[in-house]
Amino acid sequence: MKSKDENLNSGRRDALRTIVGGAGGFAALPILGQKPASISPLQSAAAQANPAAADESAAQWKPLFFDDHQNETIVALTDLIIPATDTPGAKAAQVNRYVDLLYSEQPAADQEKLIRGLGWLDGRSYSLRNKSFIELEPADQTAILESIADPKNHNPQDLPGVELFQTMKWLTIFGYYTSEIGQVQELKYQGDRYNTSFPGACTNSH
Amino acid sequence: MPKVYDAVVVGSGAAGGMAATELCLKGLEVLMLERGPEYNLATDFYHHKKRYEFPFRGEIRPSERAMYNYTANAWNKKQFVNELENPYTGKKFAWVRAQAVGGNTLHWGLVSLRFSPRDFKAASYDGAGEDWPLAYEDVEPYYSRVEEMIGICGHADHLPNNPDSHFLPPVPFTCAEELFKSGVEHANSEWHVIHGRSATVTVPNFRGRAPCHYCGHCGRVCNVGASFSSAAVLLPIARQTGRLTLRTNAIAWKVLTDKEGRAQSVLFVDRLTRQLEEVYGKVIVMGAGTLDTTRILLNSKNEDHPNGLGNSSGVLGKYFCEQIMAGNITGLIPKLKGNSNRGGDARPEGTGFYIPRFRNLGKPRKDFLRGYGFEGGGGSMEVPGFALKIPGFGANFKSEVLKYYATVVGIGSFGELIPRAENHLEIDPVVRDAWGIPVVKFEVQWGPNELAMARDANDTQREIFKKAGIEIIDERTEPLPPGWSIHSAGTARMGNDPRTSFLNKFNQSHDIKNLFIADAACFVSSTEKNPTLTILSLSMRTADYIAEQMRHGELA
Repeated sequence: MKSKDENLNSGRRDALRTIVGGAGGFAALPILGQKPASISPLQSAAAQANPAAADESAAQWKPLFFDDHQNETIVALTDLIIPATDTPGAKAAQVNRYVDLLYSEQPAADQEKLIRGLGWLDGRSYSLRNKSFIELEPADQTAILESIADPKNHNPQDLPGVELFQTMKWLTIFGYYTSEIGQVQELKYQGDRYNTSFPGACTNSH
Repeated sequence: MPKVYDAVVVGSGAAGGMAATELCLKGLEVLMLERGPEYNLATDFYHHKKRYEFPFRGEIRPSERAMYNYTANAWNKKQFVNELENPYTGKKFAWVRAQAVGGNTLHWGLVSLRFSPRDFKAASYDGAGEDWPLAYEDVEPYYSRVEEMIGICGHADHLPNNPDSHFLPPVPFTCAEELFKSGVEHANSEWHVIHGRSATVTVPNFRGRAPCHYCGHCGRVCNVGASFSSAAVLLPIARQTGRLTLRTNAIAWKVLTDKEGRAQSVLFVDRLTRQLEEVYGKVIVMGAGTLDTTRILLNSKNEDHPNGLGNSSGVLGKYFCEQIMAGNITGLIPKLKGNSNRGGDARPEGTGFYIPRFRNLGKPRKDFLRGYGFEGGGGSMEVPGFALKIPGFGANFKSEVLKYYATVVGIGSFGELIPRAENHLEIDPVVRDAWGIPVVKFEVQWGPNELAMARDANDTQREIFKKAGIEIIDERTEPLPPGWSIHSAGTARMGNDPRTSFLNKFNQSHDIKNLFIADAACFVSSTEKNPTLTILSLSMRTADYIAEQMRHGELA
């Protein structure tokens, strides 16, 4: 998965999806002179030693990249962004596991930025209620997110939080809507199967 | 004595595949070289595998990103070269290279547009560049034959600058596209929103092929051959003749000449064993794609051809052209909020809609020459990337995303890059690929005309959306790097004057009579239109010419 901006903005001609869907099979710039993403030997070894960790059905799932506290924070954030309603939300879709797997291989700078963002979030939580983010009441969690949810918020004190929120919002969107719950139950996606005619043809009167 | 084939064809994509097929049909013994392996299209890719069945949800995993070009994904990645083994140098350039029988036609966007009569004579209209040495009427019979051979769906729109093909029925519009079309066409009589023209079979039993089954992911390789690829459609025809020999895993290095100065053979490296081999042909047909064809001919320089084989004109590698992808824009149609239609992208690549060029067809503009077209589509798309622009989070956010899911519409422009000598590629004097072959150095950049055109395209995409009542949620106004369109052309152009062109109007080298180029390197200009239908047609025409010349003993 590419950064959120690249996902929205890159384009090519198969980019009906690129342009419109935002996250088709495309697009950053893994092209010129870029080095392979740096993975710490430790994480790489962990991934190889524990392939079952990538298996969402494994009962003994442990995060590859995050520690337990960070993982619980990711669970809380993704589920606040896309909660259960009449369909299951990000927690049920195990979006945190996708985020963990992805970040186990992301370039070091991206890993560092996310970890720092999570640290900022706990800092804001301690200053508010002397508790970490995951220990807060839902109303307090929501209040903090509301203060950082607007990408146009340029208040320097909020900036790391604003960046964290945009990153987590994109990861949640991509992780949730490409999960089985997101694609089948929520979106009722019709592709990737044998259809007898174009299922997207306009059949209702707008 | 080594075997001498009637023709050695380098490449198995649109150009090589069509040249080889037509030559086989005309009775020639053909050897085709392809640098990649041959895949079983029905079983070797992950057809219909869902995103959630891949740990990285169908994307290239971060630790492998540097190995792949920007179009690769978890479904199709094995068909591409490993970028780390195949470097290139020079200015920033995006190069997508297949390494599989079928070439880039395995994953292409399927957009199939005839060039217009005006396109072949564009220089006569505005003085920029050169006219082609042939006219629309010369190519038209081949457009027709290709269309009847491969199948193009679309709608006859009777637009002078966008000649109709022999169409199979188009894929219907989504609700979003119907509303978009009526809004746009009502706003400005110059703007037409037409059905995308796509190389896809939309009827049962077209030449024995399976029809499209609307899974929506031709770019992940079609498992039934409903969308056109050289591997699925052309090679079976060629093989049926019994005259095609396919040599896979053969990376062409150079074309060698004999004592009389004729093209004699192709020297290649076996990709797996790394052994050098030489294969002989009465004619050599280059169809490796514009950039690799040019690379091979530049690498073929010898004492008699110090600047590259057949390059007495000096134009080989120069006059690169393609299309600039100036920008794109995404919006929502408020009127459609809550629309329950689904599966908006469960259809072939290249369908959706197309907004043909409207600039500089009448009164010329002062700020730039030529024009651009927009490709686009609307409706529900697999991944709702637009959700990032829906404010907030939580239950209300989730509900809003769902309500807007089928209301999205987006367009992106393709603008003509007028060829200039300084936009060129050369051979890097130092860097070699993993097989020891010298690599391409790119010296291509956008110039004032493209950038002025890009500004207008970006202003216009906004104007189109505003006038059509689309709520704009995102736009890109920074042109993508050269190469991104994957429409590279022009670096061994045809012409009547051997001093200013590499090929004659039959795609034959001016200098070496039994050397031909069947791919878009022969283009004199790129136009704003996608090139593949024209590549196929000119390749077929080239093969016809070769067969006829051979019959008359001209090339023997």
